[in-house]
Amino acid sequence: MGRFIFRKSLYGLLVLWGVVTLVFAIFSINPGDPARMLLGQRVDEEALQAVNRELGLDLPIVHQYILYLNDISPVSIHNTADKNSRIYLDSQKYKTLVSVPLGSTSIAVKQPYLRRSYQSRKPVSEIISEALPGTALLAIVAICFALVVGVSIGVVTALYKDSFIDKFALFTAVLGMSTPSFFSAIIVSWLGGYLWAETMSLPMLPIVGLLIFALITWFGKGRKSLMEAFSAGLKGMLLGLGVHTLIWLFFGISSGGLGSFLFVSFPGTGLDMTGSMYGVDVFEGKFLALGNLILPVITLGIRPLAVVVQLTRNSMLDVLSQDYIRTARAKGLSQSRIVIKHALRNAMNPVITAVSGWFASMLAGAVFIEFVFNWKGLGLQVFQSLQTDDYPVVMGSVLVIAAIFVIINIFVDILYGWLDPRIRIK
Amino acid sequence: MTDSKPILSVKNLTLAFSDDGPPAVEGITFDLSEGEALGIVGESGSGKSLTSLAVMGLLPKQAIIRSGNIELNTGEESLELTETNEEDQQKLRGKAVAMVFQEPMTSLNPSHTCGRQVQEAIENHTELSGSEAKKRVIELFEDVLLPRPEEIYDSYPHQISGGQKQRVMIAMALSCDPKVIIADEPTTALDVTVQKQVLEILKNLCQKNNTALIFITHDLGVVADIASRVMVMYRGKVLESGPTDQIFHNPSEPYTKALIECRPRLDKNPKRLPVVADFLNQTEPKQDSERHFEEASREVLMSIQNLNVWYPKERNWLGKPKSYLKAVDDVSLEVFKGETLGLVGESGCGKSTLGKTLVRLLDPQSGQILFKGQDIAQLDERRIKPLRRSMQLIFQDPYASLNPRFTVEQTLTEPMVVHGVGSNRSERKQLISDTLDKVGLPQESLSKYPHQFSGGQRQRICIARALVLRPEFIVCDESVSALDVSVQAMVLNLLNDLKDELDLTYIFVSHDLSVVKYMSDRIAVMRSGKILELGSGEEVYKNPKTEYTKTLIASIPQV
Repeated sequence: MGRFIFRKSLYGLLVLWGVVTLVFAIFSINPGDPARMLLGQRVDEEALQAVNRELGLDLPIVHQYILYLNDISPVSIHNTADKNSRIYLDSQKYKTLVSVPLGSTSIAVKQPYLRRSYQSRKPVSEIISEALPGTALLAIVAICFALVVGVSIGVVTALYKDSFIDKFALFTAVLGMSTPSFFSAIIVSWLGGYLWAETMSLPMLPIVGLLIFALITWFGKGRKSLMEAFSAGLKGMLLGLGVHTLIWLFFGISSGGLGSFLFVSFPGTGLDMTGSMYGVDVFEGKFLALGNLILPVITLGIRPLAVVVQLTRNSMLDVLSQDYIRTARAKGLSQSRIVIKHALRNAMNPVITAVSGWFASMLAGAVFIEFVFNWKGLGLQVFQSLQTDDYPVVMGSVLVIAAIFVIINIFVDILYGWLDPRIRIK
Repeated sequence: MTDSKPILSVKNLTLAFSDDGPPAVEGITFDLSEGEALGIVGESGSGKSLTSLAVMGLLPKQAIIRSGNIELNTGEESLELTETNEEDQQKLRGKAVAMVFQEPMTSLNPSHTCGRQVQEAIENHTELSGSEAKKRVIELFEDVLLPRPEEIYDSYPHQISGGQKQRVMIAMALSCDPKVIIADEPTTALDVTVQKQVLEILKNLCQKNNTALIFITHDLGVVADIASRVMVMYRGKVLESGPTDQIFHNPSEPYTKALIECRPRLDKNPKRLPVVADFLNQTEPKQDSERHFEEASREVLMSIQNLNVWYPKERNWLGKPKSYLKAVDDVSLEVFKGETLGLVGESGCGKSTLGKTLVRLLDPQSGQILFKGQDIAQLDERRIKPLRRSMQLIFQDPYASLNPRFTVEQTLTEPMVVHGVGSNRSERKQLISDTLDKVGLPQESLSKYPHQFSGGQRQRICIARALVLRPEFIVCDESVSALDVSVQAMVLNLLNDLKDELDLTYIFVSHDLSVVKYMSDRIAVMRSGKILELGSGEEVYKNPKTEYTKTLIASIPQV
């Protein structure tokens, strides 16, 4: 196992090196003008050149590339004599752990140095460590939401294949998958943070329909399962919605009169349309505002959720038809035990594959969602830095994201082995 | 047998797959008393598995019990299984009635250890604590003669062999001391030698525990040893049933006679194997002319020298193999034109690897394969392509080796297009319809898809696919192993007829010595990648030179 992780980490370093090279290549093909971005449009040539010299942008691109590699490499070569050298071992820049002097140069083992932002002059590592937790929290909660809800729905639809619930869930899944996130973000934020923030007025007919149909089925003749009652309730809800829509189409509904009869009010969500992980109070300063998480998580989680439902359903159907499930039934195990102990674990492989890729890309920041909800995160940060040609921030963020990808990959490989002993790493 | 009430009594059971469709199983009636072993024999589709699943309460969802009773007498109470609800049936499954399935390879959950899977059954039905249950599992593993029971307890199914897996399944079935064990083709997927061991274990343990056994198989030969009574099923109905001796020596139904006769035998060499149709049409099988193996021509078609085929076992981090599994280890062999050379051995002995390498579906590590004087061992794909036309392969599993989305016509046209056989569509069509005639398929088959055919018919399609290219040399890789004995006889006859008609040379790979002996002029016995002995069929059978060959011969079930 140790060897496996070591080997994968080496591959990971190669990947990171490739990423740096690629990003440098892209910037050199299409160079921006960071100095002008910094100083504005009306500035004289000398000032521009001074800034360029300071940022090292006057050097040939290959030279810049090597200097950057030297900065981010954990083991690097530095000058200890000349303070003006670009590789002078400056304790303000580099957090050196060990340095071995060799004449006027020295070889140092240090933390990777991601340089400073052109714009704010803050160290890039600081900028990233401010933005990453917000993104990470959002991604982790969203993916957990998608996994827990998605797998549950997927299992139910597989067990009740071709039933009404199955079809309803699949239709909803397709709907969820095909809604672009910038659109669903606006809808979710409008519904949850504005329309239903104070009071939630919902059409009454679907709710009444749901209750009546479910209760009649549950208490009606014969022994019925909870699932049948639920399925009947869903049908009742759809029927109610249909009737409601018809009334709306023919009569129109205003807030008074018929409207007050057709709508029923519930306490609202009490959520804000936008907001970050931390809120800022004028008097009390920074405070943790986890409620702000709910709406972006729903928006971000909808699409992976829809995918997880479909993958779990198909994979479960496949596993449930396997011979070893028949063996488990022949042992006299109960259906729930068969599903949980024997089927689910074998069905998780494709779900893990899809979700891990999705999760990794979520950690890279969900730009649209961070933008709509004004959630301070990495995606938003990269977006803004790209607009201002702030290369060190973009480069640093890309590197961190790539490193996260590598780590998640190693983790998922280990997880596969846990799920399926046949591919376990020796 | 005691006079007491039977443990299991099935009366007039009729099952169907739809409310108004034809019944899949009709009017099945049988009794099973304590400790008795009943054999149910029939070809696939005869309804024997469906009957047993009905007893287990494991019928597929689409199946309906139209009428009949299944009465289970557990000693304390008598239960009518057709009216028991799912919850009560769960309590009976594994506890009162247990089952051993056909496919040991896929019947165990790959993500749990073998021990846990057996222990689960015990914990489900008894009050034993975890450690007691574990002790019981180890005992059971000892009972079914598993080597190193403690180790197997912690092994995953993929780490043990097929025979061992089936023993784990038997241990699982025995774990809660059931009254009845249903074994559905438990040995069909196993090698003959392993089959013999597994059958003995099953028989001895059932006798020891006084457990009643229902043994389901398509192969009458297997039943003879184990069952005291045999029931023969055909197309969903019981044809006849009676004591084993009577069924074997004095069968009343022609179908039963056919089942007994169509198995290739080691002591006789009929020119053609009798098939079911011969008996059903009441035409007495044509006089039993002995089949004579003429001295095959001494013209060498293929000469194999020091052939090695290795699979990488371990790789270093650059992906270079560090050590190898020697599947074919320094084999030298000559194949004469017009002969059938049998390759026989247990699974894992390298016979299939050798067969596939000879037609260059696998690349050898080293060595020479001289085909008509040309060394094809190291030819690249471009240069070997023209030669592929004359060397074809017929695979084992006719269910998996046909593309389900190709019609028969597409399946047969594709190789012709690839090799440029036939200059235009009509010429190709003519060739295809000729080939269909040769393999005995009707012309209407052309537009049908594989799922519309039975196993035997599918294997005919596979044979036709090999034949459209007019090859000289065909490797039959376990080509009849997946088929029922009755169907097997027809396919074997067909292969022999085609060989005479088209002047073919076969390499016939099988784990079943009786089939190989019937087919082959010469037999090569293989073990761990090497050829142990090589000689004419009679020679190998009458004076086996090695212990291993003797074991193989002794394991074949005798009718």
